[in-house]
Amino acid sequence: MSAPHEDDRSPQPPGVDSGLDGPTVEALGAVLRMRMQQAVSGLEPHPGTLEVLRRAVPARRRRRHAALATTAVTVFAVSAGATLAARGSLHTERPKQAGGTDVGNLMSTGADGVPGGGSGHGPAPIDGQQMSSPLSAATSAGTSATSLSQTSKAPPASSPSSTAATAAPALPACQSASVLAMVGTQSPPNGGVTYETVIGTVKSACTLAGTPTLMVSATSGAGGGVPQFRPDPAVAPLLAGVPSGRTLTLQPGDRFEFQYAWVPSGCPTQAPTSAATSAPTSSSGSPTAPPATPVSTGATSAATAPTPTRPPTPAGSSTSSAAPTTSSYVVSFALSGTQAQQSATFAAACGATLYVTDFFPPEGQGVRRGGDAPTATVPAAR
Amino acid sequence: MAAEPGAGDVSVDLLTETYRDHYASLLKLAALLLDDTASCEDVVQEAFIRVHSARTRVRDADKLLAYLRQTVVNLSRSTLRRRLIGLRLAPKPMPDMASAEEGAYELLEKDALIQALRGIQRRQREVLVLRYFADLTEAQVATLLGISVGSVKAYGSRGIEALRVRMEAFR
Repeated sequence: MSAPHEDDRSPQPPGVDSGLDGPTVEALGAVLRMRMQQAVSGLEPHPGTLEVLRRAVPARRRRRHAALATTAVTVFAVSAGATLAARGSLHTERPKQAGGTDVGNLMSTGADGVPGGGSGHGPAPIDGQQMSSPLSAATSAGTSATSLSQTSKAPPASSPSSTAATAAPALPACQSASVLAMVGTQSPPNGGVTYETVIGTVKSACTLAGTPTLMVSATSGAGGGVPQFRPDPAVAPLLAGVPSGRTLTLQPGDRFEFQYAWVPSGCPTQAPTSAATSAPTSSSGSPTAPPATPVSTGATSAATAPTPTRPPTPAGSSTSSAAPTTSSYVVSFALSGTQAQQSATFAAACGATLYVTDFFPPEGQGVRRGGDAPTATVPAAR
Repeated sequence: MAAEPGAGDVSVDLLTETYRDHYASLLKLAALLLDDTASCEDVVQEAFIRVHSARTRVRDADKLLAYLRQTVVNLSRSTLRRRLIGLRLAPKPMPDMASAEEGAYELLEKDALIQALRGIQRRQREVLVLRYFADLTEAQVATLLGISVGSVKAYGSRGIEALRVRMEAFR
């Protein structure tokens, strides 16, 4: 047999070299038509072909649909897997802070809108610090400061999407024993107001909420009470605007921060005679009217807040011609107990007022916080 | 077509009707196009399966025969080109069983015209089979093969001449 699959060369016009004219072609065509019919006349379909087709057609449809579905599922799985892998790689490649703090918390810090006033002044986290369990932290925590306001708050019952979210309810409140280091940074007086930034580092997991209680004592032994208030932008504009009502969930190595402003009171030029024997009140001595909701210091701080031995001398009295004597005050802080963990010295002649922020995470550290309500405050004791 | 294509059962009915009307003629067409009679049944069955599996083609009942014929031609061409042997949907008879068509295929193999057809060019054979066996017009053959009408005429004329020469050689 010659090659049946020859090339598809373009044919020449009919009759050019075939030697056949039109009627001859037609006649041969008729004969060819008859011979073809005769040649294949005996061919009949194979028995059972119809049954085969009836089974094969639906099967082919099913295979086609299955192939389409498989392709769609495969494409979806590959795309989803690639997406998840990309996200996973980004998550695992997230660098860690030196002290083990997740740098990813930076994002949450920014999202919370917490300004980092005084950030960067705190101590560097301690590398290689052992992670203590919440249970051990709870047993090692002191019990003497339960009366303090910041330690009286229970951990939040619910916590947001944080790795410490599940452990947050079991974490104890931060005590003095929970603190590894605490550093205060005092800024130069600005408009007569001195700002102090305190950054502490915890060594065990705990929670912190509310406003720190500051203890004020006069080194000269005299003086009046120093009331504490929530930040007032009109008086201390450089204090960080910290939203209240937050509970910080701190892991070992995490830092917390708070700020306060020391606002010396102006000495009165005229005062009633009875004022010589009484300590100046916060309303009379404050450069501006204090907020309506003063910050609590509690009964404990009231007992520890001494009064200056030399009360401010009002003008117009027998000693009005003499300049008021400046007294030194020591403002100390302790998470629990009465032993100061951090202190700073300030000067004031006629008393002063403290404006204290809530605890907040330093800039660069994420927020692990609960959602409890702001704590009730008690006016400052004198 | 009495059955309305669309649903599965209706499609089966259409398949049965199409099978009764066109399967035998398409099988004979494949036997003339192919040089391997064993592949004829496979080619036609595959053509039926392909056309009826595609619901869009089944819906257009008027063009169903055209689709089937086009598919048979394409599959026959593919079989000739690549010796496609994967289309084995029909159950093969046992070696010791003599099928009813065995004699018909033997006669087909011995037919001088079939032998002569297998000796000419594939294009010429396709044109001759479609033109004179399937009774298609030159335009229909041109459309089916994807060539011009002039090429159909040329292939037909030269194919007849080549076929005549080969038929005389068999005598």
